[in-house]
Amino acid sequence: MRKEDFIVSKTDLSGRITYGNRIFIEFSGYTEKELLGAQHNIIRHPDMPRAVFQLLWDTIQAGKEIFAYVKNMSKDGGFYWVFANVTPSYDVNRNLVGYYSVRRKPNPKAIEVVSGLYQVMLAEEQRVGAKDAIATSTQILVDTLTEKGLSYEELIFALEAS
Amino acid sequence: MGIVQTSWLMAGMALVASIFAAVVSEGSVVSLLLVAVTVGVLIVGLRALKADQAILEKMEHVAVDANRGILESRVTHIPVGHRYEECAWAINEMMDQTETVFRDVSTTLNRMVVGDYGRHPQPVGLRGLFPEILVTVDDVQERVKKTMDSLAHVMAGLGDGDLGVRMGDDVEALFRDQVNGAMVSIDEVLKQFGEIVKQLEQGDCSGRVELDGVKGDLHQLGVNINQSMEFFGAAVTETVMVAERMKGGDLTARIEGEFRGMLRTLKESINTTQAKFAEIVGSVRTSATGVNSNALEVSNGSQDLASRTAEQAASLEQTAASMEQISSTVNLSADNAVQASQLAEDSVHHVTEGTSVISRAVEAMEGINESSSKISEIISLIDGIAFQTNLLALNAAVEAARAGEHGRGFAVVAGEVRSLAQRSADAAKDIKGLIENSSIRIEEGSRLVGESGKSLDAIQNSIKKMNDIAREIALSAKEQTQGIEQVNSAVTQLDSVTQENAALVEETAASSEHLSRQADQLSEMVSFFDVGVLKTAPAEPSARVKKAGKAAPVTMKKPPKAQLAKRSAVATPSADSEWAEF
Repeated sequence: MRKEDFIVSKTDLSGRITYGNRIFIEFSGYTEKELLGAQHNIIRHPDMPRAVFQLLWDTIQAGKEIFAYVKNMSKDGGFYWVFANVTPSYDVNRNLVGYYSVRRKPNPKAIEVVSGLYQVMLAEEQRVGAKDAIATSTQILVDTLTEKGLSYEELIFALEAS
Repeated sequence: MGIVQTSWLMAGMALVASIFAAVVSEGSVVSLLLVAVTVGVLIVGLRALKADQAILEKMEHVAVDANRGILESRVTHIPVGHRYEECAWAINEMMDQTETVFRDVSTTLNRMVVGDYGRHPQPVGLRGLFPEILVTVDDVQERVKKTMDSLAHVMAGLGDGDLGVRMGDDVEALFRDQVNGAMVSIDEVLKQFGEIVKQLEQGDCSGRVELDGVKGDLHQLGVNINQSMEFFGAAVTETVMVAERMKGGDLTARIEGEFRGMLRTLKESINTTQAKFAEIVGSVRTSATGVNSNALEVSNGSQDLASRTAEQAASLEQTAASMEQISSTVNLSADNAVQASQLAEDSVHHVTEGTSVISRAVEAMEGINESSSKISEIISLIDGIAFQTNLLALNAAVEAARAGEHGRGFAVVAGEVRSLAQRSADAAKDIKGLIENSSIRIEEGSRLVGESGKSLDAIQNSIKKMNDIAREIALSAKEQTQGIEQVNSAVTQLDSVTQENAALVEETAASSEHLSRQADQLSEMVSFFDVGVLKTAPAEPSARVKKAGKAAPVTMKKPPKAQLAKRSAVATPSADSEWAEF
């Protein structure tokens, strides 16, 4: 990603894409038509641990925003790392109607750390099998945070500022 | 008017222009061609207009929403290569930037609202002025965080009672100056409070809070404190005044000020104490006077008692001496009586012996009488024998004479025998006379002896009686001696008791004198106080007691046997009268 690149996408509550900006279209390799109505995980990269998306969905479904480093996969199988921020969207009556995601160019130093962590988490997920995958890999994330004495968001901001 | 409507208007105008051109032109084929072209153009134009209308409507919708403050809307399904494509994406990107900034700012501010300054705005990817506002928000957040941290530091200091805490220089000057200014003024006022309290601790109520420039509650607090100090100072001053007057002996002073709470209690306590004290001083004064006069009486009584005790002691001594004399006299009498008794007993013994001697003498006389009779008989016999002998001797002499010479010796013997016989007969005659005389005398003697025996019996009886009397005398003397001994020991006891009494009287005199002096002192001390209208008898002058002098100590030659050992057992003299009658 380029410094000035700025991916914006929107989904409904079930994660179906309702909007994507031109940078999103460009990086995903899909046309707007292909993207609209598709599940957002159309761009999910298999290197991503399931626990990260679990955390993401748990957080935004609770009405909170989340920052996360995400490895995305484009239509041609290529990948690109993003520094994602997802916030809940509300209508005028304060009903949760969907999610709004902004993805920026991540700090490369952060990606070095995060990719290593994700590799460990993914390997553990694959080792323990689908049933215990999320719990086990979440535990790795929790242990890492405990070890560093940081909250998840503090870790993210620390990495981004590194 | 909407963009779509404008487009339609323009297409309509083109159509009207084409028809007008066809009508005014001369050639019909040309005209028809023209009309056909125009219609074709119109159809194409209409289709283009329709597509335009669709995208324009979407764009209009986004614009209208944005105008209503709804930032969610986007233009989607943008036809690729459409002449409005760029415009539509531009609108979308504008909305993306706007909504992103809005969300970023909103999220950050919402978290700041709950005191969470850890969420940093993300300006990356934003363009133009958009990142600036996020940078500003982050800067504001940083400043608010610093301010809040500093404020928290100040508040923590306040919580810990440290008024020296101040906001750091990194805090906005205006805010910092306000807070620090407030802290300084609170600090200063509290320091003043502290100073005043310290002064109060040193007993100085004159301290006041300087209230210039102090506002609000702090001002009110200061006013309250000043007022409290005023009240407290007044109370203390008045209390001191009352205490001063009290020191000067004036118990009539009272605290008059209007006070509340504990000061009121203090006032009432002091006033009550004053009144009570005055009452007590009055009572003490009266009591002291009473004690003084009583002590005087006791002292005087002690004096009398002392002198009487001394007299008594002297009398007792005399009594003791007399008793000893009597005792020795009685002892002597007893001894004499015993001796008399002894003598009487001896006399009785002797008289008894005499009587028996007389009895024996009578018996002996009777025996003599009998013997005399027998002697008379014997003498008669002897006389007879002498007669016979004489006859014989006469015969012998005759014979001797007849015998001549030879017989002459014999004749002499015979003569001798004849004389002897004659003498024997004479002696017998004499004896017989003597015996007869003796018998008469014996009879007389017996009679006399019998009379003597009777006399002796009478004497014996008398002596026995005398003996009894002497015994009784001895017994009585003995009893008398015992009585005297008892009296003596009683006197001795009385003596020691008197000694003790004397000592006690001396002590009593000293004590009463001391008491009197103390009562005097008490009166003097109490008279120092002015209790107002309270009426009391004037204190008796102590000179009277002093004039009485010290009780003369009673001295005894004989040391008391049980010197004051039984003091507690000795009855304390209760009144003069009893002693006067003692």
